[in-house]
Amino acid sequence: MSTAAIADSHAADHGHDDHDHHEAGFWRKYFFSTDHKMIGMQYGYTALFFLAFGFYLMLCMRWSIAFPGEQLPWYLRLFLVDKFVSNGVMDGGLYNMFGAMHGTIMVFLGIVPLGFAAFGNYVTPLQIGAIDMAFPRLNMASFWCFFIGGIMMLGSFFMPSGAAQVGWTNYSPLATTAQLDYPSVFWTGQTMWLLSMVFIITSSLLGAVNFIATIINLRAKGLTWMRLPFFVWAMMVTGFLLLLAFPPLEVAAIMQLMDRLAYSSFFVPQGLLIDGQPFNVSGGGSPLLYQHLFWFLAHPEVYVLLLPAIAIVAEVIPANTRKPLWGYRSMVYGVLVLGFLSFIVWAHHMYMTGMGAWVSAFFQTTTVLISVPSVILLTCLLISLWGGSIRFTVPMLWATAFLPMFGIGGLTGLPLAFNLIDLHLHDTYYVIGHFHYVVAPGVLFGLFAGIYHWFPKQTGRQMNTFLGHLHFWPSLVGMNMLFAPMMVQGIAGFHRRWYDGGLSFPLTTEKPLFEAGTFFSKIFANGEVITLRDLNILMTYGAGVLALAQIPFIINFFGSQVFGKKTHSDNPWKATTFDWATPTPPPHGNFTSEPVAYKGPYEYSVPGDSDDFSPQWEPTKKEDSKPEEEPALV
Amino acid sequence: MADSPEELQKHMKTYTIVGITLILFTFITVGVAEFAKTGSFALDVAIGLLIATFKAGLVAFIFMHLNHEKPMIYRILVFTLFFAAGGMVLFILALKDPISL
Amino acid sequence: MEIPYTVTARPDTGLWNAKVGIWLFLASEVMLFGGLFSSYIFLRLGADYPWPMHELGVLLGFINTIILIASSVFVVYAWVALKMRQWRRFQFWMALVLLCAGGFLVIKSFEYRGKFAHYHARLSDDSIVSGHLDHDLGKKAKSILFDASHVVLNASSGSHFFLKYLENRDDIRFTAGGEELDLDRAWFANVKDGLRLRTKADQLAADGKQAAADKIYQRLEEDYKVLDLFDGSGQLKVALSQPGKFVVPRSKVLDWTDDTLNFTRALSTTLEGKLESAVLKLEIDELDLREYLRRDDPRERAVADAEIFKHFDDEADGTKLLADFNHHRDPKVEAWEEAVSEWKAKNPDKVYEEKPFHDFERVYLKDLHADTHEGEVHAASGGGAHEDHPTVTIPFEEVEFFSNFGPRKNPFYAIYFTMTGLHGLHVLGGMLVLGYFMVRGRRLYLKNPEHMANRVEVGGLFWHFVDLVWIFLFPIFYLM
Ligand code: HEM
Ligand SMILES: [Cu+2]
Repeated sequence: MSTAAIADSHAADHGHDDHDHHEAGFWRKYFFSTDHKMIGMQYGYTALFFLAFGFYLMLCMRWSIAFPGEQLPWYLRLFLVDKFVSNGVMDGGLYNMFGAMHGTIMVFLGIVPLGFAAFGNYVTPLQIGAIDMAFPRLNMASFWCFFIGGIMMLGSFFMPSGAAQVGWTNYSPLATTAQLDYPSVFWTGQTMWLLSMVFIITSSLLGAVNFIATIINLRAKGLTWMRLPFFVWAMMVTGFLLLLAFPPLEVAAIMQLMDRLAYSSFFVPQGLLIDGQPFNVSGGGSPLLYQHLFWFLAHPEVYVLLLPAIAIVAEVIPANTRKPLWGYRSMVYGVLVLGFLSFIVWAHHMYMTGMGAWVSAFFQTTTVLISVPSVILLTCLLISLWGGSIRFTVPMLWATAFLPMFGIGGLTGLPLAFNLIDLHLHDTYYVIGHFHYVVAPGVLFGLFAGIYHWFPKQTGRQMNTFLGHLHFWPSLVGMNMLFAPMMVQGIAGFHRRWYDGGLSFPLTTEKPLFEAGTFFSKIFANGEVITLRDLNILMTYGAGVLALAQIPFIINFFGSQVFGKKTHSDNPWKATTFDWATPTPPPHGNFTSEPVAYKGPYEYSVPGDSDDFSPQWEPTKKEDSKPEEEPALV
Repeated sequence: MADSPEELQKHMKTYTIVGITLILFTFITVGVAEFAKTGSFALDVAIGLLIATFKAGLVAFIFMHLNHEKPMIYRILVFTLFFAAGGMVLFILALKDPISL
Repeated sequence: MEIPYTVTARPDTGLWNAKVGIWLFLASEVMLFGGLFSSYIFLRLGADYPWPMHELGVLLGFINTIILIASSVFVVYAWVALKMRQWRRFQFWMALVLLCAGGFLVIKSFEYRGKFAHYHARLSDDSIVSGHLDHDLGKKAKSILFDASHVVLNASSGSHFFLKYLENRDDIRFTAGGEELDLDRAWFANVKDGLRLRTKADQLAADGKQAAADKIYQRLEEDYKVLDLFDGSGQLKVALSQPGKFVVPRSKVLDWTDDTLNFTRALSTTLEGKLESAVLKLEIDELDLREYLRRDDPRERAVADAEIFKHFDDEADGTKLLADFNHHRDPKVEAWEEAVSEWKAKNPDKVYEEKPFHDFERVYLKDLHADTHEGEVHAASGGGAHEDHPTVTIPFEEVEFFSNFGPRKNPFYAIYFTMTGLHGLHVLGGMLVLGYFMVRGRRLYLKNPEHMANRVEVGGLFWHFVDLVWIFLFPIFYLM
């Protein structure tokens, strides 16, 4: 078919989209926008809000752990209405509520929307040289589904029952039977959790369809698969994880909804007693089924958290080492294998549910296998640093810190993979430490790197470097203060859900860490013994440091949008991928002329070249090679 | 995909035949399940599912044109089916291999 | 600036955008229904009770299968019509598709209605009865009737919801402490606000902040006088101006005696007065006494033992399998009939008199695995008394578990309703989309017929998928 014909049919079928062509009104522009960049920003701001909120919940919990039974300090109580704490002390119920919501909000409303939806939306079409996503209106629908889900999740705090209380995993039968003692079971936090999950899942599914279709069909001329930036690959794999792993959780949510609202017994076993009374349903269901369905999603989900971050780091590192990404191909294959394997490891979260030896062995094997591609990714990034002329810009700081932090997180996962060791470590603080090392100093650092990296493209201004340092260093310290002691406590047997930090289990928690009179006890405790439980205080201070460290960021983030130093180039980092080929900020439609790719994504310091970078959109100078007419697939 | 109107007309015939076959096999499914039990429950189930799979295959390959689709679609579907089936099998294995003390 | 490849295929992938999109969407749908099928298998293989088989009317399911298949054929016809640029013909086939879809949903809703009208109760002796609520009584047949003279309200956890069950609400005035109370949502909310304020004030007072506390106490004095009505344990007894006729579904009641009734903790209210009746009234169409017999009749045991033990050398195995057998067995019909008739001959009146039911003439002893329930037929015939179905009156104390044939009955019905319900929603969604194409598609068709054909192809792919799912649903629920 000739290009003329294509152009013709386009002109013909776009009558209904004419709002694309003239200045959009306020609502269309900022709220019901179909522009991928605006939607990305909507996601970003919402997600940052949720991250802050989830962080606040965690601060309250940490206070209760470090100082059980004491009143929350005024600055934490500021946001708490009497409904939650009439006397200022957190009780177990409230702790459970905050814990469940902390996990849910951070995972489903914070990190995934920021990493996948915000960065993915903003950067992916730019990097593949597309004018927008393949289905812009679907994109908008996706955001609004997410937004409604988020509002419902927040709203559940204000229901008579308060929000959900059964952990972010929401295991049945506890989740089925919790909060049934309210006149209307529909308006309880547990039920709202499920409904809002249905919205969030729908949003993710729409988003995933859109991302994958965009990447498959809208790549610029010449942008063959192996010329795609690693970021785009990671987004595509993430899209597939969401697309194929989320539906089973939707099934689980619907079934649990049925259990709660229609009194079915999907997840309720025979003969369940509640407060000594038989639970008045038929029984005959299986709590285990819930766990299977949940973890079938939730293991891939952890890679949904991770991949955008690692992808951002993979963009930041070459731009700041002025060196090609080492082992681009192996990273691409690595991420594909990782995506594949992540579907068949889920039951490593269920070693303690009475699986037999064969099945345990299977999942143990796949879990160990999956660390191979993870290590490949990390190693490639590490080697990429080697011999580079590194510019320690602020994004680069975050990106480099990501490597060891994620490394610790991944390595602590390995022992958990072996079911013999997991018997001891399951549901202890060790697990909490493991995944927080991956998600907090790992993923979050990656995302911060992304914010500092793409900020100039979006606003035309640089973020302040001094404030950036003031954000980074205390964060690094705070994170480690907070999460490293968890490993110690976990191995000693601290359970992950003690709201009093172990006060009621002195045999475990009052064991000395440093005996009286030893070096550390002299420094920190007037020579008295320091117990394992005392680590709680250290960790809570760590959380405090972390909280304070975010203040410079907030100032920087908003201040620099107005007062930041103007960038004088569309490509301030002198990077090579298409996102830097657009005007700043990118207008609706992104590119001023049709983008064509002439080479791979990371051509830095090409020998014989006059510059130390040669962007994808510039024809190679030596021979005037034409772009391939019809780029081949794969 | 049909490239000419003539071919499309031919396809119409195929669709009709396939439709009739599907209905026929629905009769067979019910007939077998109600009146021709083999005596082995497992075998009955297997036969029933086999017929259903055959019917589903007809729908997928003829009505949904999977008999001539682009490689990209096949790739997506192969992975999807693999994960769906893998999940199913692993669920069952996990259920049927409980720990024994 | 247009998004490319909305109508024509991208040369290297050979696909237009929506085609990629729909297949991706279908991939996620495969996982959705895959998850549901996996759950079905998981529940079925893990069931420690006999999985209900052949309980659904095959005929209606069969008809629905045919209807869906036909609609699938019509969808491709419609697509071909568009490809041949024949708009009217396209509309014709599409109309047939919608007709089929509508028919499918109507039949489905009849099936559902039958299930919801059909009840089942497990009694304390493990026998099972099923049937319909007494026709004249309707909802009352499964409710506890109570004439209340007083209501005891709870300050912290009470709510106005119990009023829903008061039949003569309009004729009744509530009084306490000589005051008339306007019990409604606002009243209860007021009480709870006051309670919260008081806790806060007490806390402040305990912290030594007397001034702040006093301020609140004063507010309590002014705006929350109603709190004073409650006694020390947070209870308030309210008198009714005349006996309140309460009709409370059994599921909302925690327990009851002849002169009190406690609502569930969710409602947290107590009625005082006189119990009118607490019985379940069913028109029985099936009675299953096997569990009962199994316990009481040594003969039945003997049958079981003789049947099963001779296959075993190891007694432990045998005991375990006997337990299995008691759960899963499909009893040999002759032995069963014989045992039952002998037992009945020996105890001619046991069934009638030892059991709590009185006045039915006929007892149907049916195999659990026996034929279709006639539920659909009853509902479809629009009610009318079933003269041939005896009515039983069972005191609620005797009823261990009681539900209609809805999701609550057991996981089989739960997953049946979930899967077919989700499938039904897909049918509905497909109808909306295809209907939109049929009615509003002409503009696009005139502008760019190929684009319209693409849309119909996408809609059609979805429709075939829905059909494909049903092809599996039909046998696994109706036939096996
Ligand atoms: C490098 C390979 C990894 C291995 C071998 C591994 C292994 C494990 C295992 C076995 C558990 C279960 C522990 C238990 O509950 O007893 C676990 C928990 C967890 N992992 Fe990992 N993991 C790895 C990487 C990651 C990554 C990259 C992330 C996230 C981005 C992650 C997030 C989590 C989370 C969130 C949990 C806890 C879930 C919960 O119980 O609430 N893991 N990991
Ligand atoms: Cu995992």
